[in-house]
Amino acid sequence: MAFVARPSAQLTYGMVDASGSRGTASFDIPYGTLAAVAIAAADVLRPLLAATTGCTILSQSITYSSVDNAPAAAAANSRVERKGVFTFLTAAGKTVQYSIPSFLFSLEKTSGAINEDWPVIQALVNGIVGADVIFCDSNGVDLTQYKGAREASRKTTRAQLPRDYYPDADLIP
Amino acid sequence: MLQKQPFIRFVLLDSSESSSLLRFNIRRGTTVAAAAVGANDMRSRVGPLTGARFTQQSVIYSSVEPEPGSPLPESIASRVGVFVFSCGLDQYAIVEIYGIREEFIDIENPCGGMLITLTHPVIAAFIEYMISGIFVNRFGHPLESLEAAFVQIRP
Repeated sequence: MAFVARPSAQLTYGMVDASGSRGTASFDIPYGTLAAVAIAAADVLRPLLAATTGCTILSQSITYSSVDNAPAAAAANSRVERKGVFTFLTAAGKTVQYSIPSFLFSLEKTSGAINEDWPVIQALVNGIVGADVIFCDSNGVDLTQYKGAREASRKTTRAQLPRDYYPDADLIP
Repeated sequence: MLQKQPFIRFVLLDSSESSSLLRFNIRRGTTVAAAAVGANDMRSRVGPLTGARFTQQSVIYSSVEPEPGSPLPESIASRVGVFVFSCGLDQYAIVEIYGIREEFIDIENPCGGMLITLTHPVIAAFIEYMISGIFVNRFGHPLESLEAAFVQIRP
C-alpha cells in the first residue's frame, strides 16, 4: 500500500454556453510542474481557449492527484454516512467544520460526543491548529481554536445503497 | 481570474464501496511538494479515526471568473472540437473543446464530416501552444504534433 503520484496533473476549465449547458476542457501537464508555473501556463492558455469557443470560461483548476496502488480493505461495517464532526474557530472567529467519514464508534462517548481523551483525537486537533501547519479556512485565515467534536449521521444517498440490497428472486418472488 | 484558497481533497471508501470526500483548505502559496507532505501527515492523523480507507489524495489550485461575460448567442456546448495529438510512438492525447466556434469548421473539405480549419490564426496559435512542451498526455508523454482535428456533435 503506497500512494503514487499520477504521471500528469490535470488543468480543467469550466465553461457555459448560451443555453446554460456546461462543459469542461481538460489538459494534462507533467506532475512535477510547479504550481506557480502551471497557473502561469493556464493563464496563457485561457485566452487561446476562449478564442476558439463561443462558451464563457467560468473557472480553472489544477489538480495534482496521488492514488493508493494497493489499498487495504475498509474495516467491516464501515459506513461513510457516519461522521465525526470536528469544529474549529479561526483567528477571525469563523467556524470551520471537518466531517470525517466512517468515524469509529470506539472513539465516542455514549452521548455521541467524541472522547477527547484518546491520543489519536488530540493528534488530529494538534495537526490542524498547530503553529506550523498549512491548513486554514476558505479565506486563508489560520485555525486557532478547537471547539468540540461529535458524531453525526448523513442520509444514505441512492449511490450509497448496498449492491445486494435488492431481494433475491429465488427466495422472495 | 480570482484565485481561491487551494485545498487538499481525500477520497475515502467504506466496506460497502461508498465513497466520501474530505477537504482541507491550505494556505495560498503552498507548493505541491509542501501540500503533499501536509496531506501525508493529515492522512496519518485521520487514518486511525476512520474505518474507511484512503484511496486518493489531490492538491487542487482553483480560480473563478468574478465577472464572467456572456457566452456568444450561437454557442453550443455540445459542438465539440476534438484535437488528436501524437505523443511519440503509439502515444496519443485527445483534447476536447466544448462549444467550438462555427467559423472554425471547414465545411468545404472533400472528405465528409466536419474538420477544423487548421490554418485559421486562432486555431494555429492554440495548436502551437499545445505542442510547446508544456502539455503531456495522461501518461506523461509530451504532445509533439497534431494528428487530426474534427468536430463532433454530442447528444
